[in-house]
Amino acid sequence: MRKEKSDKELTEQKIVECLLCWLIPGSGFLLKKAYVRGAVLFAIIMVTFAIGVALGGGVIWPVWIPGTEGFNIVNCLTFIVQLGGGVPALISLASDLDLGLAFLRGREWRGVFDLASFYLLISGAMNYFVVMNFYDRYYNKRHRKPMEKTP
Amino acid sequence: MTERGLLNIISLIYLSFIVALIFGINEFDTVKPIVRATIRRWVKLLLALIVIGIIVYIWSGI
Repeated sequence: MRKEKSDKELTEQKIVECLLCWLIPGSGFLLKKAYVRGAVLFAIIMVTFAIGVALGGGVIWPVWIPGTEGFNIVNCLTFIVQLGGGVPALISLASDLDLGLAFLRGREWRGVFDLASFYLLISGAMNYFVVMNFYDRYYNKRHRKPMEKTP
Repeated sequence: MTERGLLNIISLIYLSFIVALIFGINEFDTVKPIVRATIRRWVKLLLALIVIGIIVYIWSGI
């Protein structure tokens, strides 16, 4: 009974930490006291995201219903990957709402919008990899390989 | 070369580096192997992208 409870707590901890690692890139490693790794990953992903936003990119809600005007499977997949950016991606998405975040809205009329959105895509995809790596390192005992001490 | 073309090339170099660096950081724990793996992956990725670019360039001229 006691072990069952501890397993449940461990599962909750895994979910919370992975969720946090997704929302704030690299934060999971900070929780595990791998400060350098966490800070470097945070900086890389955030700088890439910031360049994308500065170029006029943004996360845009796609049309989800097949057969309707504007539906495009690539846009849907791009949106899912871009959301990997966590809080910044959610803020960019929320810029469509009337919250005073209009300056973060994607500028689709600009010629470099696709390139700018690609920066957001890469930053989101890289954060998904970081979350998976965080899980593997600290919770996935089956796939854990002997590693040197984390800096 | 137009400004936009230059921006695309700089982006290609930067983003391929970022991908290689994140994979390197995920794979290793110390600086030296991370740097080695990053450079190796970055060069491979850049070469592959250049090959793709050349193929697209040739096809677009046909």
